[in-house]
Amino acid sequence: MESVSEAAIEARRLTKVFDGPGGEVRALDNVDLIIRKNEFFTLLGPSGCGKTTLLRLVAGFEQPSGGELLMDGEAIAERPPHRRPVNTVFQSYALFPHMTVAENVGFGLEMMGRPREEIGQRVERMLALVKLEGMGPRRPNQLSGGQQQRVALARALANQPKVLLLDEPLSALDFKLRKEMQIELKRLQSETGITFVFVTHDQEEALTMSDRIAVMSDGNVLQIGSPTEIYEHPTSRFVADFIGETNLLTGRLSERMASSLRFELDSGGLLEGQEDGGNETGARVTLAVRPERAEISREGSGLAARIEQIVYFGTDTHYHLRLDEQTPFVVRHQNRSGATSRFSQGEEVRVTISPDAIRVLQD
Amino acid sequence: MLEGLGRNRFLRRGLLLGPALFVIGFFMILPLFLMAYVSILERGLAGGVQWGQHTLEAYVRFLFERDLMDNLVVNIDYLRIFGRSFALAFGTMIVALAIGLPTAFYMALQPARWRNLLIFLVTIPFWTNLLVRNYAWILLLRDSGLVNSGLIWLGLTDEPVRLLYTPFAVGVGLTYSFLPFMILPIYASLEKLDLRLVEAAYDLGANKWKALTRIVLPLALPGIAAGSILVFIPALGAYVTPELLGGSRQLMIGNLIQGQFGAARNWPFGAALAFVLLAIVLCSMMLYLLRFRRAPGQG
Amino acid sequence: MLKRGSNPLWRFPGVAPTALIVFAYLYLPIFILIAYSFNENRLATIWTGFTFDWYGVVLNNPDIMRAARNSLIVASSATFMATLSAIIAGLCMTRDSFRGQQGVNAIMALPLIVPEIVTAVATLLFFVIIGMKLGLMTVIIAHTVFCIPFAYLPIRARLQGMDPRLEEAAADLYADPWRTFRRVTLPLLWPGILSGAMLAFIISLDTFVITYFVAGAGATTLPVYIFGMIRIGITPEVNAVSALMLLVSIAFVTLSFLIGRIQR
Repeated sequence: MESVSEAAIEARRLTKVFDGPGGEVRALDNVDLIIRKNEFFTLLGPSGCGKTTLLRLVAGFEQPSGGELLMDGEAIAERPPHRRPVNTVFQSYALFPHMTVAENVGFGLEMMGRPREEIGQRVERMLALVKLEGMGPRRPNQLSGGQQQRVALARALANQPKVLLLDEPLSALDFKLRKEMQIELKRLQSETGITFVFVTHDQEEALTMSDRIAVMSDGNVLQIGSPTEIYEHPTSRFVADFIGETNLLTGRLSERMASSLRFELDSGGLLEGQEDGGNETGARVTLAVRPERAEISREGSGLAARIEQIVYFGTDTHYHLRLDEQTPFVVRHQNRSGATSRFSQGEEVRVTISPDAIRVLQD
Repeated sequence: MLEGLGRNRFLRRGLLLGPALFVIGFFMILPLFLMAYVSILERGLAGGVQWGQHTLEAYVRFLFERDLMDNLVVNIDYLRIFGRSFALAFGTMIVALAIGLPTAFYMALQPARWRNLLIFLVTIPFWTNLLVRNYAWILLLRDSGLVNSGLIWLGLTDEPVRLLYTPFAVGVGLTYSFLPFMILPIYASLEKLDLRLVEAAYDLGANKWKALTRIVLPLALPGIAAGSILVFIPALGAYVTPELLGGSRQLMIGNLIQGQFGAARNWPFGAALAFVLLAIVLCSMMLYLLRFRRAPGQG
Repeated sequence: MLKRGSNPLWRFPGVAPTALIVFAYLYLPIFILIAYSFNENRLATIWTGFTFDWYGVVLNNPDIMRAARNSLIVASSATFMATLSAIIAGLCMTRDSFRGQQGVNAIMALPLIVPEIVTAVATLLFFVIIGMKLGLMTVIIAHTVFCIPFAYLPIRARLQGMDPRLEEAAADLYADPWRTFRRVTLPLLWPGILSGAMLAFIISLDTFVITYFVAGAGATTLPVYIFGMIRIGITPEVNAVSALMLLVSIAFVTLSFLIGRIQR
C-alpha cells in the first residue's frame, strides 16, 4: 500500500450513478485507486467503462454519488471545478472560438488574476513549448486539428496544474499525427513533471505512453500495473482479452510436480505451467497464452491442431488453428526468413507452449 | 454557470423559467380558461356578461335561433360560415402543397450557396406585415388592378372580371399569406434527403415517376405533414384576409368572432366561437403530433 | 459530396417553372405596392409619373407619426421583456435537465399554436374582467406574450448548438460561474440573442389582430392605423406607409439573417 503523501489523487469506494431513461446506470462502482505524484497514469477501457466519468469527477464537472475523492490527501468532492488545481485537455479540445490562441492559453492565468505582463510571457513560453511560436494572434478555427490539439495542451499546462487530465485527446487525429503526439506528450510530461491522467480506449497508446495503467470495465477497475505487468500478467479474462490478442483455454489444474504444474485441457491434451494462480489441485482454471509465445511444428510433442487459415501481415504471419476440431487458437510467427509460409492450410500440426508463457486467470 | 444562482436547484429553475412561464401562464393560459368560462355565462344586456348566471345559450345559438314563439329553429348561417372557413382553409392547404412541393424540391436541388439565398427569399414575405401584404392584393385584384388590366390587354375579356370580394380573392390571399409555412418544412425534409437514394432507385430500375413517388415523396412526408398543418391552422383562424379581400359576403370564423366583440356585443357567443376554433386547432395539432412525432419539440 | 442540380437525373418536368411562378407570386405584390407608392396620381389607378411626395405626406401626418411612435414604444418594450425572459429560460432549459422539460417547451410554443384571433379574444376578456384599462400597457403585455417564442427559439437553438465542454473548460481554467457566463457563454450566445430580439421586434411591429383587440383609444399602433385607412379606401398615403413598413421589415430580417450567417 502506498503512503498517502505520494498520492496525487486517491479514490476511495468512489461511486457515480446516473439517472438514465431505462433506470439507474452505475458508471463507477466502488472504485479504489491511487494515482501517484509525477506519474503518467492511464485509464484504459472500452467506451462506457466509466473512465471518462472518473476523469470528470476529478475535474469537478460531476459530483460523486458516494465514496471519497482526495487530492493531496484533502477531500475535494465538494469543491467546484474552478477551485481545483487540475486542468483538462478535452477530447474536442473545447477551445474558445471567440478568442485568439493567445487569449485561450492565457485564460486560466487571467482568471487567477495574474498581471498582464506575466501572462504574456507565460503564453509565449507555452506556445514555444508546444511548438506554436507566432500563432498567438490566430483564431482556433484557422488552425489544423493537430495545432488545435497543441493549443489545448498549452492552455491546460500554462496554469502549472498539479494534475493534468487528458480525455482521449488524440482520438481526433490521424494515425501519423497521433504517433507524433504520443511522443510529444511523453516528452512534455517528463519535462514538466506534472501528474498526467490520460483516458483512452486504445491499448497500444496506453502501453507505449504510461507509467501505470488502470484497466476499467463496467464501472470497475480490474487491474492496475505497469504496461509490462498488464500485458504479461493479466489477472482476468477481460484484461487478457482487451490488451493485445490472447488465446483462452479452459481446463483443470490436474497435478503438482516438484518444479512445475500440469493442466489438463478441456480440448484434450496436457500443458505444463509454472504458476497456479492460487488454485488448489483439481480446480477449474482459465489459461491465457499470447499468440507470439506459442510455436507450431509438424512433429513432436504438443497439442494437436489443424490449420484453418493463414493470414499474412508483412512482419508476421497469423495461423488460425483449431485444437481438437473446436477450440480456436492463434499462433503468431515472426517472418524472419523468407516470405513463404512454412505451413499450408488444412495441415495437421503440433502446438508447443513454454511453461512460463502460461498465465492462470483469476476468473 | 447556473450553480452561481443558488444551491437549490428548484429555486434556480423557478427563478430562470419563472418570468417566461409567468408571462405566458398569466397572460395567455389563464385568459384562455377565462374565455372558456365566459362562453357559458349569460350575455349582458348592454354588452359584457352577467356573472354567476350560467347558460349554454352561446352554444345553442350556434345551431339554432329562437322564433317569435321562443321555439328553437335550426339556423345554419353560422354553420355555413364554419363550412366556408374549412373549405377555404383546406383549399388553401391543397393549393399551397401543390405549388409549394415543387418549389421546395427545386430549392433542395440547388447548389448550397443558392439554397440559402432562396430560403431567405421565401422567408422575407413571412416577416413582412400581413395587413400590408393583403392590401397589396387589393391593388392587384380590384377592377382597375393589374390582373384585370392584363386580362383585358390579352383580349380574354372586355369588361373587368369581378375578382375582389370573392372566394377566389380570399383563397389567393390566404395562400399568399401562408405559403412559406408550406415550403420551408418540406424543404427541410428534402434537404436532408440523400440523393444517392434516388440514384439507387434508378439503379434498381425505377423510372423518374417511380423514383419520385416511391423515394422522394415518402421521405418528404414529415415535411409535407408539418407544412399542411402549419398552413391549415392559421388559414382556419384568418381574420385579416377575409376582412380585406372577402368583403362582407365572404365571412370566415375569425370575422364572425370579431363581430361579437364589435357591433354584435355578444361576448359569450364570441368566446364560445373562439373556444370551438381553439378546440379544433388543438385537436388537429394533437392528431398531427400523434401521427408524425413522438413528442413535441423533437425532430 | 454530390454536386446538386447539375445532373439531368434530378430534373423533373414542371419543377423549375413552378418554382419560378411561386417566386414571382411571392414578390409581385410587394413590387407592385412599392411601385404604386411612387405614383404621382391621386387616384392611384393609373400611372402618371414618379414622385416621392406621398412619403412626405405620410411623414408629415401627425396621426401616422403618433401611431408609429406607439408602435416603436410597444415593440421595444415587448422585445426587451420577451428577450430577457427568453434568455434566462433558454439557459435553464439547455443547461439543466429535469422532468417536464417537454411541457415547458410546449408552453413556450403555445403563442405560436393558438390562432391569433383566439389569443386576441382571450386577452381582451382578461383585461376587461380584471379591470385593466386598455391602452399602451395592455398592448405591451399582449405583445410580450406573443414575442416570447420568437425570441426563445433562436436563443435556445444557439445554446443547444454550443459545445457544453466550452463552459466546462472555462470552469476548469478557474473561471467562477459568473465569469464563465460573461466571458464564454454570453459572447457565444450573442448572435442568438440579437437575432431573437430582432425577430421579436418585427413580430411586434407587425402584429395586428391582437393589437386591434386590446389597444383601446389612444394606443393605436401603425398596423391598426393602416387598417383603418385601408377600410376607408385605397389612397396614395396607404401605399406609401405600407411600402415603408415593408422596407423596415425587410431591412430588419436581412440584418438578422446576416448576423446569423457571419457568426456561424
